[in-house]
Formats: sequence, structure tokens, C-alpha cells
Amino acid sequence: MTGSERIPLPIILRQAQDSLQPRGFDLFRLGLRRLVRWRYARLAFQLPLLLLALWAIFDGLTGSQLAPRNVATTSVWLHYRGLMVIVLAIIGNAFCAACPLMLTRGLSRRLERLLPRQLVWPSMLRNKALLLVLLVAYFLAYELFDLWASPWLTAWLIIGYFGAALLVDTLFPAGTFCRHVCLLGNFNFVYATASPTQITAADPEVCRRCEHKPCLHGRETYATPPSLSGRETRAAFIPLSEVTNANGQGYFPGCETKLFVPTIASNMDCTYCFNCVRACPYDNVALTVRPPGWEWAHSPWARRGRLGLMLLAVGLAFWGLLNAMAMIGPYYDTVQWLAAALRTDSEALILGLLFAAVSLGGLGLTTAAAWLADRLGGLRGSPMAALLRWGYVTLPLGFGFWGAHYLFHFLTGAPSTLPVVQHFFWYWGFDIEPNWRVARLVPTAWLFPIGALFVALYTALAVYLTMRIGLRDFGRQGVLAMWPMLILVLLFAALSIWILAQPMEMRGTVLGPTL
Amino acid sequence: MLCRAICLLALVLTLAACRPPPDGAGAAARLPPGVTVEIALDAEPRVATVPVNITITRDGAPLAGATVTVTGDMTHAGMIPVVAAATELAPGRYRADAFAFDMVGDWFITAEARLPNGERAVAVKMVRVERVAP
Repeated sequence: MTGSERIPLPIILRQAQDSLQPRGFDLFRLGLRRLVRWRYARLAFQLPLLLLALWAIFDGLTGSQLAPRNVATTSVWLHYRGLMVIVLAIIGNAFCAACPLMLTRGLSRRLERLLPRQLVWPSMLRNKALLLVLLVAYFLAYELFDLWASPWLTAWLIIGYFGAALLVDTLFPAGTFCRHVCLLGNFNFVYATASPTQITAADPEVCRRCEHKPCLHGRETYATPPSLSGRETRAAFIPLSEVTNANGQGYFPGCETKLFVPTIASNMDCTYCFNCVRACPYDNVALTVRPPGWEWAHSPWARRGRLGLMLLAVGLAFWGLLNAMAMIGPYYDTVQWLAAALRTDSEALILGLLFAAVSLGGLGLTTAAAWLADRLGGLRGSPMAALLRWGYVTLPLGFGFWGAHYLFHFLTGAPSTLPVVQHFFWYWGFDIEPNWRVARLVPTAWLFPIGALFVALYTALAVYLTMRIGLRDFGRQGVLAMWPMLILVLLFAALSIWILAQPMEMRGTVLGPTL
Repeated sequence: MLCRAICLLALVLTLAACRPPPDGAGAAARLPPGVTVEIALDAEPRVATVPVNITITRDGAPLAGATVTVTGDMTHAGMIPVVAAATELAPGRYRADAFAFDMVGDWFITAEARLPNGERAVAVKMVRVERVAP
């Protein structure tokens, strides 16, 4: 890292003084600290997922092309997505922590040396704008190319992810891919805001006194200063004698997504890589237990991301509805009506129009409700300012619905791991008979109640959040101001429950044969 | 510059070398030599019970005494499969009476037969369950 990229100390200190972090039980006290501080802790979690990714690529490219019988399609579209929402809801961003894409980092560092100089990520893209474009493209491709039904395309999607991680982090500083390009990671970032854990400073005073900020910039630790041998260091040298609970000597990188521990107010952009834990010489990083969604009521994105992040939150909430609606009858009626009205059989055109309508409609509705809420509260600010105040309400709504949707698929097919693995070996000549009767995790009658309960739980959090924001920013007048957003919350929840209650229809039967 | 050129070249070569599998490739069908397995539905596929008929022959002659299971899967991973055992109506003719489509959409039906000599025969048929106007 160059000197010019470092955040000036006075700003860091001011941010530290302004920091707002939950205070709660430190999960690292449960014996996890020693594991996390181990240099190869992340690798130990990444390797199993790397092996699974390689297996999925192999089976996707060479195995049976029937989606429910292939490791690629079942692991990506069924198990990964279901487990992801469960882990986000009860732990935190564990999938980013164990992300195998980051194992390309060694190769990207070697390739980086071949470059005359490393490029700088364009300042106009240092937000979530590119991600918004990529997300829309991804959701369109998902529907248009039936990614869920194609092991071959799913395998290429995984390869594409590895290739993109390698390419971006070779050409640009490490962490650029995670923060500005990775769709999966950013989905996790957005909804890790619902998680009951957060990285915090165990004692903010220690951070204020800390000179080099190793959790941000990294550190190097040896028994003797490298300067004595004329060697350059990649980060500040902190002698071994100064380190509390030393976890070895060498280079310990800091936060690649540029988060400074005592100022972390949100799980946004935190990959749970725990570099900060290893880099901190004073053992001052905690994994604090907090109420789920604690940060939503504290406007955590005011300093980092602002409008781009809010558009991502609002977009994901409404795209979640559309993604699930594409599996119920009324969606097909709408599509067929639209196709007849426009006299077209172009699925791309119809999908593009639907995405545009839902994106603009969702954003317009949320902004209008937020603006009206501000007006009722006596504020005459801009619609954007209103959206930045109230937009957090879409986070519990979005997570509640994505969670219910992914849980539905997970609960209907999680144990299919067994027959899919059996089928893989059968496909390659082993005398194993897959037992396809093993599929569902819970009785079918439980699926709707579980999904509805998940939605209801996060709707209750959205209602609570709306009330908190109203009373926080408008005092007694907040009782009136909160109503437009409460109505939006209830409408969203009603639509969510209605979608979950519809009989499912499988994608791929709308405008033409997909078999 | 060199790195960019290498990456671009690798990408182009990789993409050019790989083509999607042709229709029906890797469809999990697997038949011992001389054995045929035909799958036929009793009626147009719809969300209802639609018995499935399986005809098994070896070298053109009906093959009796097989144990046949019919499985219906949707094209999306994670949907509960429909599994029904077939009974033998006549030598080489089997029927799964209880087979029921429970959802509109694209399905593939797999007939898996354990033959009397212990061999396994697997055949796959794709069908589309259409929506029926109320």
C-alpha cells in the first residue's frame, strides 16, 4: 500500500471518536480467538469449498445434464443459497469468510509482478453502481438462459467467478473484486446487516492510542527491525516485544476492503476474513453479539456508500419479489398478456421490461413513501435525503423474502445431497443405486408456514425499525411520519405472503420451448 | 501489458475450445446392450395422476421380471421428486399407476429398471406439463 492511499490519522481518530458499535458478548472468548488468529485459519475453511467448487465444475462440464442430478446445479442453486441465508440469519457472513475465490490471490500476486504498474480502480466506480448493473444483468441472464437448469452453464458461472476474481485482483488492488465486483459477496454484505454478530473494537481506547492502525494497513513483526538488514517492509514494523499474544512473525495484511475496526458501523463490506484479528498487535478485535439488524437503526451507511448502497438494498428487496414471482401462475399470465400486447415473442424484451418496471416501481414507491414520511414529519428535504433516512426499512423486508424463498428450496431438497452424490458415482460406472426418495427435509405441509414465519419475523423487525426511525428523527411527530413507510412494509409483507401461498409453476414454460 | 495479453489469449482459447453439450447429452440414460426401455404416458401431462407405461425389451423380445421405479423430476434442483413403483402387467410391460405430476413446468421422467440378471437399465423422457385454463 502506498502512503497516498492511507487514511489520514486525524480523520481516523475523528471517526473513531464518532464510532458507534454494539457492546455485547465477544464470541472470540469461546475459544475461537486462538483458531482465528492462526495464520492458516481461513485456508482451512476455504479448502473444503474449493474442493466442492472443483467437483461442481467437473460434474457440470462432464456429468449428467439433468439439473437435479448434478453436483453443480444442486450445490449452487439449492444448498449454497439455502445455507447462506440460514448462516446470515444466525451467525454472519461466514460464506465470504470461507470464500474459495480468494485462493486465486497467490496467483494474482505473481501475475501482478508482470505488470508495469497496478491500475487504480476508477473513482467513479468506487461505489455500488457497477454492482447494480451487474446484478440486473445477472438476474436477466438467470431467467433468459435458465442457469438453474443447466449444469454446464452453472459450471461456467463458477469458472467465470474464479476468472473474474483473478483478473480484477491482478489488475487492481486486492479487495477490489470483493468490494466492487462480486455479486455473491455484495448480496452477503447487504444482508449481513441482518446478522447477530459484528466486528468491533474490544476497547476503543486501545485503538485511539494505536499509532500504525495495523488492522487497516497490516503489520510486519520480527524480533529485530528489518531496517537493520536494509530490507523494505510492506507494512508498519511492530517489534515482537510490543505484540500481545503474538501469533507468529512475518507479514499480516490488514483489511482489504479498507475497514478500520473502531469505526466499523456496519457489516457492509466486511468479509469476516479476520485479517484485522491477526494484524492487531494488541488483541483488541472482538466478534460482538448484537441484536439482529442492530445497525439498521443507526444509519450506518451515512459515511460509506450512501446512495449506491441504498439503491442496492431497495433493488435487492424488489428483485427478490420478481425472482420468486417468476415461479407462479400470475407471472405467466402477465408475461403472456405483455407478449400479446407488444406482439413479440422475445423473452429478452419481456424480461427487460419487467425488470425495468419492478426496479423503477420499487424504487419509486419506496422513495415516494419516504418523502411523504418526511413531509408528515415536518421536513421539506429532497426525496433522496428521505430515501437515505428510511431506505433501511427495505433491508429486513428483502432479507425476509429472499430467506423464505431460499429456505423453501433448501427444505424441499437439502437431503438430495445423498442421491446426487450416489448418482455421480453411478454415472462414472460404480454400482450404486441413487435413492431419489431422499429429498425433503420437512413435510410439505410445513413449507408455507415456515416461509411465512420467516417473512413475518423480518416484517416485525421492519415495523420496529420504521417506528425507531420515526421517533428518532421526528420525536412525537414521528408517530404520524412513520405511517407511509408502515403501509409500504405491510404491502410488501402481504405481497410476500401471497407469493409464497401460490402454487408453484416451474420456470421455462412461458414463451417457447426450453427443453 | 503482457499479463493482459496472456489473460485475454487464455480466455479466448478456453471459450473457443468449449461448446455446450448437445441436446440430450449426459441425460443419464444407460441401457445394457440389446435392451430398450420406452416410456409412455397414459394421457396428456397435466397436474394430476397420469399413469406411466414402461416397455422393456431385450433384442426385440419382451423382458419380464424386472423391478421398475419411475421418478419424475423438474428441471430445477431442489424440487421434491415424484417416485412411483411400477407393477408388471404382462411380460415386458410395466405400469406406474400412482405417478402424479404436482406442478406445471418442464419435467423429466426417469425409468430405472433392475433386470432379472442384476443389470440396470435407465431411460429418460422429457415432458412438459402445460397449464390448463380454469
